[in-house]
Amino acid sequence: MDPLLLLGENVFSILLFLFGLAFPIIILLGLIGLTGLREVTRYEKNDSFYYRLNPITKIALVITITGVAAVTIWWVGLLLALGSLATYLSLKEGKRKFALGSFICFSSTIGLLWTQAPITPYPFLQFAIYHVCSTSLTNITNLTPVWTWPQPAYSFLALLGYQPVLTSESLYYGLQIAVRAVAPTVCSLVLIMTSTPSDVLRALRKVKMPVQIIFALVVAMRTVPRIFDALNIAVRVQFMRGYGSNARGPVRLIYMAGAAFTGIIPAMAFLFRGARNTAISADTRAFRAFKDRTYLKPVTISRADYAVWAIIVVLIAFALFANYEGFGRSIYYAALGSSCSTSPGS
Amino acid sequence: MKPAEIRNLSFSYVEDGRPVLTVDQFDVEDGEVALVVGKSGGGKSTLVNCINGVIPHVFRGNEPDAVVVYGRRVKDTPLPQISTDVGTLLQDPETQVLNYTVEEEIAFGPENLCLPQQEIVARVEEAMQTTDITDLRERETYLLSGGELQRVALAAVLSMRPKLLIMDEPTSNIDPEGTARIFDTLTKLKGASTLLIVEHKLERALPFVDRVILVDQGKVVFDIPKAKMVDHLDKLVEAGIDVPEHYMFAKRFGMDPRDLEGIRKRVVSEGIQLEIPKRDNSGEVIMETQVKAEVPGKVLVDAGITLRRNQVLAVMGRNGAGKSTMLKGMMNFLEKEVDVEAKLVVSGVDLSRRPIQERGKYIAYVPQSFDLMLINKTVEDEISYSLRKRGEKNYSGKVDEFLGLFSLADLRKRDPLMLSVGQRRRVAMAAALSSGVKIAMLDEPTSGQDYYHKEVIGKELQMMKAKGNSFIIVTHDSKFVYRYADSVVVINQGRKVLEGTPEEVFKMSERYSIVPPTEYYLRSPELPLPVEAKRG
Repeated sequence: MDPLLLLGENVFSILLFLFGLAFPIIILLGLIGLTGLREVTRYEKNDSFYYRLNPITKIALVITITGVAAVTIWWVGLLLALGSLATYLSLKEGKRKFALGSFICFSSTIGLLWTQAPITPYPFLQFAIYHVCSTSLTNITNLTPVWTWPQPAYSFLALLGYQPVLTSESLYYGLQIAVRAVAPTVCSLVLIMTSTPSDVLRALRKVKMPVQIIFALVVAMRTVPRIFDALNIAVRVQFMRGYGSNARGPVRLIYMAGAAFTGIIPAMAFLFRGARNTAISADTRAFRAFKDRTYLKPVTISRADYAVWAIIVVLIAFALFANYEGFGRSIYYAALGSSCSTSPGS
Repeated sequence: MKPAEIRNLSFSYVEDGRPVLTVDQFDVEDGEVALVVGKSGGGKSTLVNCINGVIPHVFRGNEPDAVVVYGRRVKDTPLPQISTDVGTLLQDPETQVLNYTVEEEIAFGPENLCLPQQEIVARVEEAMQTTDITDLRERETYLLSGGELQRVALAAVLSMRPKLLIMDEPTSNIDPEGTARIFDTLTKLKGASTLLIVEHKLERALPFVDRVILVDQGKVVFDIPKAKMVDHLDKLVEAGIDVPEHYMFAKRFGMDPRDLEGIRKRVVSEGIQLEIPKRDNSGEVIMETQVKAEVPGKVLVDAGITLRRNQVLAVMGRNGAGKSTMLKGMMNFLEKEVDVEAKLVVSGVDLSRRPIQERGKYIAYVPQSFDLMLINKTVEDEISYSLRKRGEKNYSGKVDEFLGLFSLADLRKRDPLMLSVGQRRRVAMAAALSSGVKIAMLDEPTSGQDYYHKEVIGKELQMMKAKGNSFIIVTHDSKFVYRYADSVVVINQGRKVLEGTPEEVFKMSERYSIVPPTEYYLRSPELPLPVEAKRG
């Protein structure tokens, strides 16, 4: 092979590898930024639809969407993700939240796709997409090659579990996995952006969740936006002190990711020192003094909650129907498994 | 039953074993207001933590038997139960507020007490009125200033209607206006509750208290009525407490320390020459900056400053006035949503359009949360970080120099995050300056620091100034500014409203909630005393 061509293929392979690593980071840090991440993990006061919902309803919605996306065909997850994302427009500063949510969806999809696609074994793809059973780890019959990883790049990539050839089916499969995970993420952020820790506390106590678990959730809800604040300072101070001095353009974003990684330890140490105070502050205000609590504002169920519960019922019914009609996932794989066991070596 | 009784306490933390607090006898009487003073690490927080139950229920120790609160042995009483009698307000409002809205935060305690809803509503209302925050009811807590947030934290404790209220350095992290509002609330509480206050600001707290307790090196050095405090000033000075200068004169002249007017007249009539801090504003201009930062509908800051060689320039103003925003605007630290126009010229080089890394070659920045700077495994790596990142080869000599200058030589192999607060701050300062920059910006370096550590910072500034450095420091501490700054800029609502030497600025600064220190008035007998100083 032409050494120049081989070199070009190796360089391209490394760029492909880095793409999966760097592209989500570039979107996260370049388009969303630590400030944006703080905004989508923090409650802001408003009185639109989501803000009026009982947190239990929102938690039930998140669980339902997670379940439905997991057990149905991949495009149902995609539709749920897009549908949930569209509802961001009803939030405070909806357009900005929608934009931030879109970037998160996009970066998560690319990141998850690229994590999954190159490492999925061929027999798995043949089972899942062409209903063909194969036990050979090298047989790519039926699969469409997109890129063959050249040597010596592959000797490194193989250590990470990469298959020798990237196929269009593996990308398709990676996409399926990604969109299933994105839908719950988008929906969970709605819960965080529209509920105060106090809302969550009283709602979860109503369903008798242990107070220790609720308190951990409450502290986490309060702490996560602070992590981004602290990281923001830690990153900028590192740049100021000379980190990435010669970096320009998109390369700077890679350095930013590096600075964020390095900044995690001091940021967490800083926050843990604060978290101890938070715990003392709660305990010295009679938290857990009694088995139960009373509330300034009682937990209410509004018409909006009934509407969401109706949507939840419809989603569950849809998931059952989809599975029955062959658009499910769990039954599909089970069937594949059983058919394979009857035809070994095919 | 007494609010608190301690007998024969010798407390040590489990992991250490050495006693950190030894108390033979200590009582808190019903209805009194007691002030606990002492250096950081001297044992005063340990003392109050033994009473509020944080020891042994959060921090484990060896012998908590000896503490009884309202007839209940602290060791045997769960912390939430103790909290029904004893309320605790901590130093940092940011970390003690749990909820996103003010009303929810104040209701948190009464809700935990399982009170009926009407009772919770009544208590929330009462606490908000006492702390004068009814206008903040619907606000998000993360949007409040430090002073407002601390009053919310206080209201959240008061809504528990504690019989004994412990306040552990409640004004250390907030501005003078916020401090004044906290002390206003204390005035309302005096007589109605028993108060135990840990506070560095001796002069500020004294008018409110009945009794003064000095805790130093793990022992109660004295426990006396306030009236007798003048007789014990030497012990306070020995223990590193910030004793107002006029108290020393009051003792010398046999006068009432609250009579500042009389004391300064006497100082003049006795012909005593008081040393006036030297100001050096003669150096050439090394930095000129103008920052305009705005968000839609609001100008956050539109101000500029000029820094001279070997100058310490203090930037003062209320919380939210735009001081830190100006600093961050200079360094390109502001968030994307903030529209910033910044002109920054250092030593003739226009850095206005240069990235952070370029600006960092000329200017160092130490944030208020200086721990966030500490990313290396050892102190020496931390100090060499900038030099290494900027490609300097022979840096070991410089590292040794800064280890020596900041008294860190013995700690060079230690993990910076495992050091004490004072040591960590020194590492951050040394790390910021070691790259050889001549300008450093320090955001609230004295916040939360006791007198001893403030003096250490002041000495460091003087030392580095003598080596050719210039500093911009954002601070609320007028005493620190009077002692160590050459020049002051006051920012109000984003605009520069005053500029000059501390003496010039303090003449008019009260209108911007900057109360000059009494040592300034002591040296300016021609000036009328402000209301704050007259309180004594």
